[in-house]
Amino acid sequence: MKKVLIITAAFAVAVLARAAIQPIEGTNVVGFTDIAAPSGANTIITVPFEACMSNGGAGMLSDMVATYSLTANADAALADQLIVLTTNGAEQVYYYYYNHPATGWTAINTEVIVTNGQSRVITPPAANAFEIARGLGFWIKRVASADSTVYVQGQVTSSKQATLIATGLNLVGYGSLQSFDINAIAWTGAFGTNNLSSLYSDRIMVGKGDGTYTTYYYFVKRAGAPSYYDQFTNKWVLSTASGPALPTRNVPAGQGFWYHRRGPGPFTFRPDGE
Amino acid sequence: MKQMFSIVTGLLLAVSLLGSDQLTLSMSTPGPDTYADGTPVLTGETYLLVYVKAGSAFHGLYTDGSLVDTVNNQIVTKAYAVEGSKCGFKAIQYPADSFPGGGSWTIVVLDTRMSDGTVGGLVAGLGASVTADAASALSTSLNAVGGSEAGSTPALTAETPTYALSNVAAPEITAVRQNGGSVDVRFKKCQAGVLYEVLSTTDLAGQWQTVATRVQATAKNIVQGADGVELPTTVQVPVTDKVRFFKVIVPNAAQ
Repeated sequence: MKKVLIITAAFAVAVLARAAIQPIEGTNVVGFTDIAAPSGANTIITVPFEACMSNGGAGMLSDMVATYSLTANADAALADQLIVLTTNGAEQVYYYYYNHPATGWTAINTEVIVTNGQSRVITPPAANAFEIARGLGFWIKRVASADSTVYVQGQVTSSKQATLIATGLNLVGYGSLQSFDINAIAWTGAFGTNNLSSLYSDRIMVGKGDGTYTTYYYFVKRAGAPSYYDQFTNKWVLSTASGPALPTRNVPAGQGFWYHRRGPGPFTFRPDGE
Repeated sequence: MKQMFSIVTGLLLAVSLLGSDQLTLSMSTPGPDTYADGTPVLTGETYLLVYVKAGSAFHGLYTDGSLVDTVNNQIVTKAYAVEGSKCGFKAIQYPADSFPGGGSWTIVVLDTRMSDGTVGGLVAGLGASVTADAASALSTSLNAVGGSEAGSTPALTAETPTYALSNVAAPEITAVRQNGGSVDVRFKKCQAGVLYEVLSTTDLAGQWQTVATRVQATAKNIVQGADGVELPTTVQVPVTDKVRFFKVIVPNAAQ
């Protein structure tokens, strides 16, 4: 009887000791999420993740945009494609990739037309060597297919996004796992002037999915303007027949957009704050 | 105040804004594209991407592949046929101000088949029916011309003849030799970049029949004659022929 009690007591102590030990947490969280990208259409997407899982380094295109559920074809014209507007040194370049059935995202050479009928060919970096910074926006061009989803994957980030916005048009996004109100994130550096200036204020164009865009202008109240406009100042607004209006819909998670920078010089988009 | 505001913003919205320095465009055709005789375009055949200025149209090519209208048409790049008799996918990038919006893009398939059936010769025919509006410098669209999926755009047929180069000399036959079932014909005043045809008849008052097409001078097939370079060609005739006449023409020439 005593022996049984001793064994029982020892077992109870062991259980209690085990319950007191904290688990060792992994150093990262990874996952994937779906983004709406209708077939037979072009959609601007952005990747809400950062480092890729496979090598622990910066996220590479081939790792971050899954080819699962996408259309692969040895003929680039019949495959889903990714098109990235980026910079190659000092110039803008378009990099094309298509979903090859054997090799996944595969680079396509681009012929760059210059003046006087001259041209040169640029070869994009391999998809497994092309770094995708969180906040970069790029096109996914879908051929006709039953599936309207693209999956992006990677490591959930805990750091704050910092994306350079250059003068002119930029394909960018907010690397968020949830849809977001465009006025609920930080826009320090965005430029607006003279209430709603459709000519001079920065603007954002968010695709509607049908090839058209909803355009938002950065509103900065003009000195002396009525207090009515206080509700819009330092916010993105729609230009309507009755004046400025706040956005009525959120930007879906994973959807990129055009940022047309018209303010003085570039700035760094820090949607999560400084 | 609000009304004034809306008028001003309405006007301003109608004004487009500065855009990207560089635009991109891809070209392809769904195929199968064909030659005028109905046969599928051969792999390696040439396609052109032509920019057509606003208010103009594509005005065709000469047999050497040069443009008839060099003011309003511009060859931007070439692409080539791939398996499936279609234009292989090609991506290009260009400065926005080089090809202004308001103009259009045309994909042109060429017929460059030579007499031996291979491609790469002079241009005997063309088909140009795939067009797309050129994007403005403000474009935020991903532009493409030609389509890629079956049925997305009509197939091309290279059925429009090309034009002979201007000021082509009239060819002159210098020799004819019967070989029983075939006849060797040589002519002088042949020029590079010109497509010749040989016509034949057995009755000078009757109809002439085309017996050889796509006859073209190359470095490999010209010979030295008594009065300069000559171009030989061989045409088939009935073995039973008792009488036959020949002449060489430059088709589709504006003299």
